[in-house]
Amino acid sequence: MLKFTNVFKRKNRNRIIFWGVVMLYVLFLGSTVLYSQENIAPKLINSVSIMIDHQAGGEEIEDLITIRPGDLFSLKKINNSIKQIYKTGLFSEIKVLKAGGNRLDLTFLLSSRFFVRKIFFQGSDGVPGRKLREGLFSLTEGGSFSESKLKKAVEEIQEALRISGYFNALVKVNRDKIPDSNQIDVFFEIRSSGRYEVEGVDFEGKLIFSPQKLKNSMATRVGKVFRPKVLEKDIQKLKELYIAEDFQRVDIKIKRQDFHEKKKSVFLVLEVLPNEKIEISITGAEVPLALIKPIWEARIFEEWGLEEGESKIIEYLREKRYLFASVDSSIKREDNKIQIIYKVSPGRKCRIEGISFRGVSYFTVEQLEEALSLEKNILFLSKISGSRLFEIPDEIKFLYRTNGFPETDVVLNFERRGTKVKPIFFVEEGKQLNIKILLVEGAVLFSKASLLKQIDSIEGGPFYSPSIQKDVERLEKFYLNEGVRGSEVKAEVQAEDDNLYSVEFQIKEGQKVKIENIIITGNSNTRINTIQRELMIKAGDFAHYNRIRETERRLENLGIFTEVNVEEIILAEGKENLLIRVREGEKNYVGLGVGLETKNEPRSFDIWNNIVRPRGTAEYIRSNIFGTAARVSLVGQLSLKEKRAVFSWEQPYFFGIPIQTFLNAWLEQEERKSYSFARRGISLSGIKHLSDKEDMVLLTTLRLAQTKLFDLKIAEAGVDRQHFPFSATSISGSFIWDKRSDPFNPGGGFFFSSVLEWAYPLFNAESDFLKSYSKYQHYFLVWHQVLFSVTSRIGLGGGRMPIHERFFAGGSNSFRGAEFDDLGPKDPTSLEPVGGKALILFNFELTFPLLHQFKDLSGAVFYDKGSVFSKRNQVSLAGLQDALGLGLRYRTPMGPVRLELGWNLDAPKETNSLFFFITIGNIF
Amino acid sequence: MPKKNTFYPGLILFMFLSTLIFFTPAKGEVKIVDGIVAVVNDDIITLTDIRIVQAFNFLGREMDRGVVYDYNDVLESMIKQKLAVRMTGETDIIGAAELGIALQRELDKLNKEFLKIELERFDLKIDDLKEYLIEKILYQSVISRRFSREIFVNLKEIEVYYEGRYLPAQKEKNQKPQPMMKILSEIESIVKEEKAEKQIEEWLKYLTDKADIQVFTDKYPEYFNSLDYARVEVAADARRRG
Repeated sequence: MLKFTNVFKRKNRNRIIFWGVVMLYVLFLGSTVLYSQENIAPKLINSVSIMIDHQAGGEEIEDLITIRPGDLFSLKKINNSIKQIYKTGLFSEIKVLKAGGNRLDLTFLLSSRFFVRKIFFQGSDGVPGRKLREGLFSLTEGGSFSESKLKKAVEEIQEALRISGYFNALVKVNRDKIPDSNQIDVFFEIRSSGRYEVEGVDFEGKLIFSPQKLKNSMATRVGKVFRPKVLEKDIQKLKELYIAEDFQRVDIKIKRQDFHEKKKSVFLVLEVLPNEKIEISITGAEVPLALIKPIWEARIFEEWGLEEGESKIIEYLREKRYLFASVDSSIKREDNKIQIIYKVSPGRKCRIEGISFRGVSYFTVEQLEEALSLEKNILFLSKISGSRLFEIPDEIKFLYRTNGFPETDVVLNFERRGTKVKPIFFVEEGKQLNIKILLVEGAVLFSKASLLKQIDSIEGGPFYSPSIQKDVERLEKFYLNEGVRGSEVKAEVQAEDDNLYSVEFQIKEGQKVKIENIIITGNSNTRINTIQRELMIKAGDFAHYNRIRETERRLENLGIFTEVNVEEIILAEGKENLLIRVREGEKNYVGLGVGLETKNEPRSFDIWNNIVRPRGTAEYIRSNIFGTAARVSLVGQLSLKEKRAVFSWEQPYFFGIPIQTFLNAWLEQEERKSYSFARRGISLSGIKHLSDKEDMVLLTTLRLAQTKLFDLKIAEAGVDRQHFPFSATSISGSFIWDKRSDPFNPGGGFFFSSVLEWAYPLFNAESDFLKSYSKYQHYFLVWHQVLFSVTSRIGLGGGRMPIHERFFAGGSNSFRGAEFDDLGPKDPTSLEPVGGKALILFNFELTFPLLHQFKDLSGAVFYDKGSVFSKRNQVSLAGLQDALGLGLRYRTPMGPVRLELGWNLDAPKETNSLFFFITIGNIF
Repeated sequence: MPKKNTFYPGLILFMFLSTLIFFTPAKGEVKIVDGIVAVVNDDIITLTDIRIVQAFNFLGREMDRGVVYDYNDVLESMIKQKLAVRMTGETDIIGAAELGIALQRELDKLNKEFLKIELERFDLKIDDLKEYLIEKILYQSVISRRFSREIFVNLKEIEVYYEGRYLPAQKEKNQKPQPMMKILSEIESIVKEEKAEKQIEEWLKYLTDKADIQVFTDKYPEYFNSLDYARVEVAADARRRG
């Protein structure tokens, strides 16, 4: 029994254990199933691959994928990678697939973004493609393409057709992918249902003018094709008609457009609401109504309108030196008319004599005058305008405020003696607020001393709230430039005393960020090193913000990209990628031109003494040669008497050095009346900008040129000096510093240039000389639009200088007391000028406005002094000739047109001493 | 012959096969992990973005019990948010300090345990949620600034609502309707809210017409065409939130 019981117990125990194991197993299995449904078990990445348009690739964007083999699976990293890849602008669709169990294989599937190469319009029925292109915004040539844009593009074309009168046009769109590229041509097929003829135009409302007069002002007329765009312009013209009759608030709109499909015509009805007539009268002084009318065009508060009008009239009169003008204004209403009346009492016209300040102690008078840009009077001419005088009190108050004086008061008063007035500014400075304590807290990455150097505020210095704010911005910028991101700067200001403040700059520093990778995209033609050499920053550097922006600027300056975008993409704490996205521009340019040619340099020609010929020009430029940002151009010029071909190669670097280099080669041939010449040459020039503003330039040129004459009908000595047979090899260095406000119409500033040329007899050349030439010009604005300019030139040479390398002077651009090139030594036989080895020239000129109505017309008086000497040792001041003269100038965008009459004070008797010139451009 | 005992061998075979089936890695099965679902004026929305917004309820409205917000709903809301914030350019409509306070308020609403689980699920840090929250807060600010002016409801509109919607609804519920004058203010606020929503919808439609929007939901059919998937996700979310 016991044995049986024991066996029974053993059997039961085994059974229990067995079923227990099975139950545990089933529970384990069940929980595993549930677990796998509800949670993503941590898995490792086995591999990451990239497929672009179903093909393996994408090495150039691998660095943008932040999840790598061996990493734990992370949705965040995958999501960030997708966003980074999208920012390259190269892909329109991105998907990530995973395969595998515990070890996952990730695949990034990318679809290339397509770009529109060309847009074609077919069947556009007379509407120019240009007009359709102007109305197309969603698709542009060079822009990105997507199917979703097509519907909008069709709507835009339909609208462009509608405003040209093609209502109900049918527009279909097709696209054609260019093989082996990511470009697409888009074709718009247009089928219009024709246009509508204007059957009639009618007006409703209170017209004021006769319907016929209104119709005559419109381009939309009976019998003409109806174009909504033209009707819009007509409505504007009609409004102008009404405004001219003082109906400033006229409203005209299209009330009805009745289309007749069968007749293909439209009847238009326009509604005219003139609203009230606004008559403005200004009595007591001559003030143009155009000054006041625009104020009343819109519906405004009348009190404001009157005040605004008074203020404009007073400002206008003060500008004319009626300093004590006053205006009274009023409004009268009658029926549908508003009369606005300004009664002006101008007072006497004044002459402003000097300016003085009283009560000033913080600044000296000189400091105030400099800060306010007040220049002293010249003789009787006041350098300050009447209206500016009344603005100066506010300017003084602002100046004081920025220096810590919040309560400064300034009153303008006058000392009068007849028409002469002396403005006196009475200044009550008030108390000054100062910074007692200046602290910088929270900075760890940089020393307080280095941070304090970045700001303008100083302990003991003036306190001005906006300056503190500017200092906050300076500190934030400093951190960015040092590669720190996420910093925040706040200024905490506390009043310590009545006049004293403590300022604490509280800095919450971010983190220094390093550039992990620099990814460059969009360059299909440009070589990678062409872009890389412009980078001011590299992988591993801290993200210096100023260097990143400088990189962007340098890439833009290459001139081969239509778009440059440099973006920082945060990877993780302290790490970011720099994504440089470029869009390459057009590579080819072809130009054709027809013009007139003169024998002198561009921007300045003397048409009394020149040969003018029609000439045709053809030009071809190819940019970004071999992807190196180099440019080659070929220019051909052809006329009846000449042929010229110039080949140029331009590149931004010279053997890796950042010097803009030009290689020019030219061939030219010209037939003159008494001889012909052929010239060929080659030159290599390098230009280096010495300043960021590119106003300082160093230029070096190596030149080899050879001239031959043929078909001679005169003695060689009679040949124009620039065509004289000679061969020359030379090297020259030039320095140019141009600080003129405008190179064509300078209103101030200066220009300096200096050239040193050494010609050495290389390659059987005949040249052997050393020559220097320097020029300095300065422009002074002495009064309103009264400009005084000084030009000085010195040229010195030595050695064997052929005639065409010597110095010459005379004519409208050098010495206006002699004909072109006629100043200086002459050939004893032919009496032709032979030039010299030394030149000294001074020009003084004063230009001034003539008539107020003609702002571009001015008068001039000038004094020229100078001469040319055969040898350097013959230079003497006594040998200089003098010329006086008068002139008229008419300002054009290319420079002034000059009419000048010069009188040579040292002309020998029985020779011409008066010379007349017509020229374009400033003297140079 | 004695009958063979096939039970235990069968059981052991079953256990072996089930182990093979459940624990052998499913090689060859490819699944979409993430991808671009929509592009709004060059600003992308990925599948993960949608899942995060849905999981943390950053839709800008409270999740109602029993209502399934599928991925299409979430995507539509995210597109509207982007349009309202980006196209108006009002990304600095509220100051940094105010934004910080609003952000903290949103984060405080989330259950701590739930937050921990979900952050782990997406491998996110709390700072990573800020971009989604900021968009939500800015959207609410833009809407509030643009549509905060008083909306007027006239008596006629109240009458229309009372007769056309309130009375039938009460009849359906077999409840006795209250007199109109007694529930006037309630009806007024409902009608005002509906009018405001209509104005917002019209404005958003105007922005949508002007924007360049590309949607690729057809590339993710298992997420966007199947409501069942969304129901499972929502149910799982509810369980996580407890």
